[in-house]
Amino acid sequence: MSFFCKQLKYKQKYSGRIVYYLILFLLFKSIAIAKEIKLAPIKLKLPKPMFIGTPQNLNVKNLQKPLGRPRPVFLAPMGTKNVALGKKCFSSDDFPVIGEIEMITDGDKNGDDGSFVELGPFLQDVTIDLGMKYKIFAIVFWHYHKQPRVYFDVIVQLGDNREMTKNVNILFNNDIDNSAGMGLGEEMHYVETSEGKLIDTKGVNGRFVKLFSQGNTNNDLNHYIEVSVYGIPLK
Amino acid sequence: MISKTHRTFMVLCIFIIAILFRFIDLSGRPMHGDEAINAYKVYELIETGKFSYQPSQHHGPLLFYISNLIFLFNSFDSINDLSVESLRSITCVVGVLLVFFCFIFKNSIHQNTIYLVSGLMAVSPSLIYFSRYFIHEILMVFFSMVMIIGVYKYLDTGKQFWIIFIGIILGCMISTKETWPIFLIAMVISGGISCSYNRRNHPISIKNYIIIIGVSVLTAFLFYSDYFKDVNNSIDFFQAFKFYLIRMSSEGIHNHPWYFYLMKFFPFNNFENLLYLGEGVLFLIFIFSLPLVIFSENYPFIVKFLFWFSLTLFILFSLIPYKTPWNIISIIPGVIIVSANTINYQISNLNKKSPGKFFIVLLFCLLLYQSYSYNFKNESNPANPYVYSHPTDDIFKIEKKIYNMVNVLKNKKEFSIFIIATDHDYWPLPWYFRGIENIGYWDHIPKEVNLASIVIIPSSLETNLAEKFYDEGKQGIQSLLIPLFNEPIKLRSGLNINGWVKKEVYDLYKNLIIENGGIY
Repeated sequence: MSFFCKQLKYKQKYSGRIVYYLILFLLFKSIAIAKEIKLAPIKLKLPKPMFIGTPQNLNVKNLQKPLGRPRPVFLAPMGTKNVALGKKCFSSDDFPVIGEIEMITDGDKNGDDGSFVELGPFLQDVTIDLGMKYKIFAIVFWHYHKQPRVYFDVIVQLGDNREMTKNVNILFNNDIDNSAGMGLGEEMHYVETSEGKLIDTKGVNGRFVKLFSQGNTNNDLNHYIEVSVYGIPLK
Repeated sequence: MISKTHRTFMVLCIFIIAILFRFIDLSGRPMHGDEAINAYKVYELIETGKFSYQPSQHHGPLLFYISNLIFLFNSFDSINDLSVESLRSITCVVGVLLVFFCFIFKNSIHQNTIYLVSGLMAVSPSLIYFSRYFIHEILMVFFSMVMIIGVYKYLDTGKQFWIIFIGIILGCMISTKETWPIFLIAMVISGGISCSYNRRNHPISIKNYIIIIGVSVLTAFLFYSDYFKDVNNSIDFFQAFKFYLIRMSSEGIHNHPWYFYLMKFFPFNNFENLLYLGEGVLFLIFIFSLPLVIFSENYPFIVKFLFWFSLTLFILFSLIPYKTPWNIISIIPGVIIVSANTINYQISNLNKKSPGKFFIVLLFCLLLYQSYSYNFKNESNPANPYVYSHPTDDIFKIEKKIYNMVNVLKNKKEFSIFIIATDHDYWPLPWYFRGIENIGYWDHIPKEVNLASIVIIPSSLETNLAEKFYDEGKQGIQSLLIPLFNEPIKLRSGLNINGWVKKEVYDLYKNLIIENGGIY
């Protein structure tokens, strides 16, 4: 009987060791496997190219390179705000193809249908009457940004009267061939984006802001979504 | 009359000029995005044996079937076996055939005019440019001319064979591009105008019209249903009308003013000298042929028909806001035949022929110069009026750099390339990188972007790339991204792209080159 007990204890002792070594072996093996898995190169599932239609053709001379990052904010004196908001607008095209002239200063910068005004072909302009003279630090305007486009002969003037005969400042002009007849412009053409075009007006004074354009890379029409004029009342 | 030896010599000269201008340096111009997509579609067709029609894009199946047929005769294993030269050769052959189509009209048109037409077609800048372009247009123009030949032959002989022939060719036009109704409308209008003052011997009966429609529908069904294997494809064909009508009527990136095509003939905005007015002169002669077309009884019927056909096509294409420059070639054969006929007519009325001959030589010289400039010197220059949304030569710099790195780092490092572009606007890069395995394409910055060895991305998305790459990369193991190119790279005019490579990858590449004795 005692022999059998000894045998059993012996077996238990050794089987316990075997189990112990087996567990250790499995543990090391699983760590090794885990390490192997961890070290295996990650097989990327790379997507195939998608077919698209003919891309847009933007063949424009003197075209500005995109910035590639959001435009930095500009600093201006305390109290500077959009003084064009809700102000009266005039246009060379009294009967726009789409939209109303008032939409130019309604604060809606959305690029969708219903947010822009479409003026006729050839050279067209819009004039904003700020109501009084302001010290202007910046003008931001959006023509159309639903698709990348370049507008031609973009000219921005600031003056004291609507006819632009008193105290006129040309703030921007990219009419490189003088096709608008207001002098050669040295500024570059640019692609319309949702950021709009920011002009540093360097604190000039004026009451009327006039913007010209003459068609775009897609058609002969002229569009305006919004014009914002940042300034403070002249003391 | 011209002697037989002279005739043979002239045909040979025209043939050689046509071949040289169409086949020399076919890979010199970067693949256009549309060409690259067509090439991929050919590859898909060869690889799977199936054609999947997309009613919104990429047109009918015939160009792909013809290409497939040609490549089936060659040993073709993978997309790498396709080359720019082999693909563009297909449209070039069609372009060469088009040069000689006028010889079919030898019974109606004066012999001198026929040689003049062939000569002008051989050196036509637009026909050469779009023959060297792997898109559907030259095939469409070819079929439209072959259909006119079929009608001409039927009216001449009255044989029923030509009715079947017209039906098959109309089916081929339908299977080539969705613009076929415009061609058909132009043919019906011009046929009506021409027949109003010229009665023909064998007018086409209603029964024959039904046969033409039946045969054309059957032919189109054969191709659109992928040889009767996929009926859904042929049903999709009807959906195409919806997409193309929307495209024609809505505001889009390819909407241009009515004079867009006129500016292709008179590219004053692009080149400020008169040496680029060769096709403009031809177009002016074409327009000023109107009194002759209406009043002259000596003017051949087929030329009168082609005048109205080309004019109607020109007006229709100009009225549709959606415009692309390759549509212009649909009117070129007609413009050339009419103007050549008018030139020959006017010369025959001159007492002294030498000024007329001098004018022809001058016109040839202008067209030769224009063709050389458009096809070999400014083939991807945006100033070239036929260049449209075309990749710049920078594509070759990208290709060279990437393949160089792939070859050096092969078997040395896990290497993957991520191509990212808004709206999948990365074509033709997939064509140029078709030989690289570990490459992926996205329309957004994927979350696994930090695993990429190289990222090619438009400038406008770089801020987002930096955020995703560094913010989501693991601390301590995220390598720095450095610029891949030393200079700004333009994929197209107005579309700047940049390449970024992990510093550790670039360092390894640099060291391997130096180790192998190369100059870095």
